[in-house]
Amino acid sequence: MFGEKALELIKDLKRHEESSIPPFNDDVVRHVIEESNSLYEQNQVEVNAVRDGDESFLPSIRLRHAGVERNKRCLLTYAYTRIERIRALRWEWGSVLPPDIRYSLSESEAQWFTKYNKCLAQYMRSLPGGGLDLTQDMQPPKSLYIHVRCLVDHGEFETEDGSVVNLKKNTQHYMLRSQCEHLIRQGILEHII
Amino acid sequence: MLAVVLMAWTNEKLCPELLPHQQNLVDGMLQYLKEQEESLISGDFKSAIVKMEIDRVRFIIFDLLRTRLRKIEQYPAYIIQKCQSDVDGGAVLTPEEYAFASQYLENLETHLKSEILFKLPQHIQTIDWDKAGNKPDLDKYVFMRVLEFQEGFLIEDEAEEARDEIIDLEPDSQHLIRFKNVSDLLKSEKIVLI
Repeated sequence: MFGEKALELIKDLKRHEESSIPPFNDDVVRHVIEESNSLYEQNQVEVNAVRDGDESFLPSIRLRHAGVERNKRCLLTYAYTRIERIRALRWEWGSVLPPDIRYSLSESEAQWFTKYNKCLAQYMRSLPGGGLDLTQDMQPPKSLYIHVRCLVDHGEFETEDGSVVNLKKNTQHYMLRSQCEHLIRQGILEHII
Repeated sequence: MLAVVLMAWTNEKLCPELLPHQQNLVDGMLQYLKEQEESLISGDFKSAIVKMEIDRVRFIIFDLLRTRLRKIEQYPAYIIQKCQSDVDGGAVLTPEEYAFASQYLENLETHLKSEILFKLPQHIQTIDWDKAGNKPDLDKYVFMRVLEFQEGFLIEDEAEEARDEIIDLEPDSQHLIRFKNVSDLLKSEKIVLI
């Protein structure tokens, strides 16, 4: 039946939770596009027949057109939802994506991501105060200093007031929240409650 | 000034639509924060508390800007269209936000076109943003508190059964009402969302 393959795309997205992206399903997308094109071509033949006066083809023309429209809607939803998820990833991971996520994106999506980065950076730069990084301070601060544990060897780290902290694995530190936040997000430090 | 910033932040977070921008407020507050930060003496107990406060206020401002960006990204076509047809001069977007919005829309359309639309049959290669329904939900119900006395506020009945209500809004009274009815009041600062 027309439109079944398109539904597969949507189901694919639904199966993966909101924060992860399945690899771009090139095969199914191509299949759906081919199906739409062939439906359209079949329709063209019948439209010509109708123009010549034969009205009996009208219901089948409508059916095929509905199939094409549905395929288009499913494809657009698929592309748009993936873009939404990639956008969320930018805010979570920063402007460089880990390789396994980058592998799941199609070329066009990777290009979109670069352009989005540029767009966002331009906006942030234009903010007063010589540009602000809006991806910092994502959560309301509960206290000024926080306990953190180091998960991997990161070497030496210089804090704001000049003192150097040696980030070896499994060491614990008591640092200013603003210093740690970006390291916590990268996974190097772990916040101990 | 902090109270104004807090009000702007809660309103923006709770409102389904993008509110007029308050760039002067944001600029002023950021400048103030910077001055405060520079005048801190490190290691002093009082300055630790001041630093906390600076961090908190900075979070509020950043969250305000982030919420606005998020709304722009959710309905770019609707917002740009509204901005272009807005005659009364009540600026909703700052020039930078407008640039961001139009570039975001362009990127999105380029991607959708190259990925899908150009491969589909020719007669359906356009994106109809109106039909896609990419609009903020103005029928959402919101809690509000009245700041100024409003006499004779008309609530139209959607079902057209001539059940229009006229109520008086007392100051400090709280209501749960559909957003569409009060969006003008919010913009002229006669109510606040809670």
